[in-house]
Amino acid sequence: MKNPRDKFRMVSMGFFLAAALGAVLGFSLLAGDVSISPWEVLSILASGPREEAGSSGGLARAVIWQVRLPRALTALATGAGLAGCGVLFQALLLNPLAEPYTLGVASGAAFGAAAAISFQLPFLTFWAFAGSLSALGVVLVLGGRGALREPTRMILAGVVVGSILSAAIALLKALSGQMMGAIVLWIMGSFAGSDWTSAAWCLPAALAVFSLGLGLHRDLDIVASGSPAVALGVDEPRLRLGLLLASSLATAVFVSFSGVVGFVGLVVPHLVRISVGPNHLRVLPLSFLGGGLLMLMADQAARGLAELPVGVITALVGGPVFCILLWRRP
Amino acid sequence: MLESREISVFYGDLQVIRRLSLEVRPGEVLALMGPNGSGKSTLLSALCGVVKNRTGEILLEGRQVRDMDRRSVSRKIAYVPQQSAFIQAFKVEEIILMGRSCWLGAFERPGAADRRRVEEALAALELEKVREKAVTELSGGEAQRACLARAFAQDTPFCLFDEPTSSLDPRHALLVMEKLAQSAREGKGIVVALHDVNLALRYASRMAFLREGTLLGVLPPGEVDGRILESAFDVRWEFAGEALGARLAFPV
Repeated sequence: MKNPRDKFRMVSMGFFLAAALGAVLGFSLLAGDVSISPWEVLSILASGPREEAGSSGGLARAVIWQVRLPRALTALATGAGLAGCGVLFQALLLNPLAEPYTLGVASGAAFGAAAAISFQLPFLTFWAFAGSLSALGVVLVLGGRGALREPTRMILAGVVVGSILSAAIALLKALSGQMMGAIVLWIMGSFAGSDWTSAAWCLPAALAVFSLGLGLHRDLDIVASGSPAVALGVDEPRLRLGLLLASSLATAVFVSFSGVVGFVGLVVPHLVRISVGPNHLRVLPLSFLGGGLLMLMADQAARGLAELPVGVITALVGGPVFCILLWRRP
Repeated sequence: MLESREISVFYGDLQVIRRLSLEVRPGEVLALMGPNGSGKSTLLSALCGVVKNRTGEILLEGRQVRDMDRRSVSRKIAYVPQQSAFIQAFKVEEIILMGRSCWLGAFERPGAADRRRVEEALAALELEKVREKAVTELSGGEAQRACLARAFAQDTPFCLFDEPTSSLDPRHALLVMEKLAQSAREGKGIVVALHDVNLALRYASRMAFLREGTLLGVLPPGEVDGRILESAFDVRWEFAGEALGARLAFPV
């Protein structure tokens, strides 16, 4: 309803997150080994990716257009998308511990990637994507139709498939000898290999999750509140299947390109809910901004710390913030 | 009119409703009476089309409920189950506004009419003081009233309530029953599963008695006697005078 205090909080938080996101995005284009001035960045962005005849600064243009911008956009889309998927998963599975990886998508991707690295197969991203879709398929079949009415069964199916795949990944690591380091690094996540292909997949995936969630925000509210959804006009099994499938597919895209970056999808929705309440019309946009911001900042830190795995940073930075908010919560 | 024709409901191999036919007329309070496990709750959920595993027909104004989409059904039938288990901490007024959801498009904002319905429901169930409170922090009775208010805000021609007074103190139980009777006078068809025979004798237009999924009979309160009460509840009943124009019955 119309509560000026809620509205002010939502608008001010949105404004702050958007401004911070813009600032970090700008910084990520400026910072790096190749020094480029803000003015130069602006003129390179304005003049497009192609070098005009006679223009100078070919290296700077390549760095901005081929390295920094696609990497920043991929990180932003992945963070925003994972946080958005986390919101949907927690609402639809009626479980605060649910996250985009709950239905085995991450373990599947990690297994696909680990297998590809072990057996030195080309097209690593393809194998990760195939792995995540296969795991999702097994979880849905295991859960059966009844799972759409009974989320606990779906979560259990996800946990079981995840455990089996984790064991298989451990086995691959043990057998892979020199490749073990590469597997571990891939699984922990990184945006170092991002390019326009990853950005072109991750941005639409994130936007699709955002639009779907926003269009169905009222249905999500009803389901998440614990109200009798069917009696209030929501086809709950259909909503659950549609949105879980869509957000798992999006998650599969994110993890296939950038590895299993943890924490963002689980905790950002909680952080936002603690601040503005559970209403999805507020939670979804703010989680998107928050997830994008956290991931962009974490990737920025990863770049500064000799490409430390980005998942380590998201957990190390976000974890204490979450602890403080949880502690202060009445 | 909302009616069930020869419906049977199964939970696995267990048949909980047996070829039951019943009609709900606009302008009446139909009380469903029967012991635990007699099928009252299942019948209510079947009437609003929630139960999948059933045979027979549920007709809403002549149309099969099965063929209607959920949104259309929920514009005609409000349903409040017995248990309310709120999960996330939505505010009371947000929960009541959810009753308006079936009337709104995906990106449509609630309008003045929706807000008015919410305000009326808040006032009718005396929830104004807790409107900003999180539903997860409400007492059992307040939570039950919030669920009822959501159904009133839904503003449907038929309302199904499963033991709506089970968590309420006497004053609020009366408040709710008065509100149900008033809704019936305004032309709505109300079905209410009740355990309190005297509340039913006082407020119902008709009382339907169930036992083991079978309908024993449907009677106006004036014609209810010890025999049908005993065959429904398996205990002897005595009528002891009248109060406020209704007879009083006690199990002995």
